[in-house]
Amino acid sequence: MTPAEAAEGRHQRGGSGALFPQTSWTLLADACGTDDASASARDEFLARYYKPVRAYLGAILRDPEETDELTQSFFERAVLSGRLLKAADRNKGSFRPFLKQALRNFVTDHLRRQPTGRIPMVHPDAGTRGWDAVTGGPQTVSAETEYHRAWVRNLLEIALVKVREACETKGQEQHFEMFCGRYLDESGEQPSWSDLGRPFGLDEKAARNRTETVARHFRLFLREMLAEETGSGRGADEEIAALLGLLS
Amino acid sequence: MTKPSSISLDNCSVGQLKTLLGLAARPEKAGGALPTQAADTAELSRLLTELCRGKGQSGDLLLATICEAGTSLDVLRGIKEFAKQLLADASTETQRNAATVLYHAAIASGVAHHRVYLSSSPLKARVPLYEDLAAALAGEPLGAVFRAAAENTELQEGEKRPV
Repeated sequence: MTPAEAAEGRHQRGGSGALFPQTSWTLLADACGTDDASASARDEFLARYYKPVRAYLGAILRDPEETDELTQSFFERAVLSGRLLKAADRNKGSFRPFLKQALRNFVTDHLRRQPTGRIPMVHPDAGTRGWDAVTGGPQTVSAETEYHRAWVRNLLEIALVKVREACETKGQEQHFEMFCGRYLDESGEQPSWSDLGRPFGLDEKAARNRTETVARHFRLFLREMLAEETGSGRGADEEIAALLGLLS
Repeated sequence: MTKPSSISLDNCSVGQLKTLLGLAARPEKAGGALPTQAADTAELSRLLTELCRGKGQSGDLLLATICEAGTSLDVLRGIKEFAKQLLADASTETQRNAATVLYHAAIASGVAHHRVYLSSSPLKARVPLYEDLAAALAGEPLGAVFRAAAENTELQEGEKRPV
């Protein structure tokens, strides 16, 4: 399975318990094994991190084909080979910055191997324009910003799939639709409670109550996922604060 | 039409991502782990039965009694006091949480079914916890009890009758 296929298939596998069943560190260790369970862990690892990895590399390379190739290469040569696992040390911090640093090292090595003249600078951190100078032109969004946005999107998507499953189990499909209408509308606007409830024949209060019910599910799921990942409820708070701070 | 299995936030703005993250960043409401644990009602019932060993009660019976609209206030008071005993007897965090949920459920049932608040603590302060419990137990009879208690705004505004 390619990384892209794994990412696309993520939401089709397993139930709610199949998503974020373990921490990123243990998943990485499992993914580097050779047995049947490792194959499943590899798919899960790819599903979790494909988008942030591709977003980071894509922001630097600015070439979709090369980005796809290097993304594939990163998972094969850096992750599944066990190199990333050897460098892993949970005591040094969370997985998110660890993976980003590994990506940074990987893409730097890749750029150093390019023919002279193609890349104007191979020590981007030392330049005044940093990573923006890598492709020689201005970039509207930095690689780090793209990485963090993709990371947050991925995290929220996983939580939302779990919430949708829970709503379906509880017969709250309508509740979930209203939650999506309130928070995920592509226009970016938040409809009023009365507008939200009208298509369902609900008044303002009922629409609000039902939407907030789903918001509570969402909060619980997301916090549980982060508490599991970081090892504590306090860690979940710190991670949420960090992610909010990095979104710009 | 088949429903797409995945959810994509690719078209969501950064502002929307912040709003969604913000939903989880809200300060922890009263109750901490209670809603999470209460969401598994089978486990809640099992823990209560475990605590009731030798006391002639079962978790299923206690929870069913609380959810029954016809249960009298005297019985609910009895369950509330019984929950306090269980809380004192509990030896693990999960047992303490189970007993605490039972305690709050008895009080919530009084509000939901009789419009009587069986506690001297301010009901308003408990509404956030009841809302969280109602969300965690949505679709379950016990969730409906907490939901009804949380939404009994008239009672919160001055009709409460502390007992």
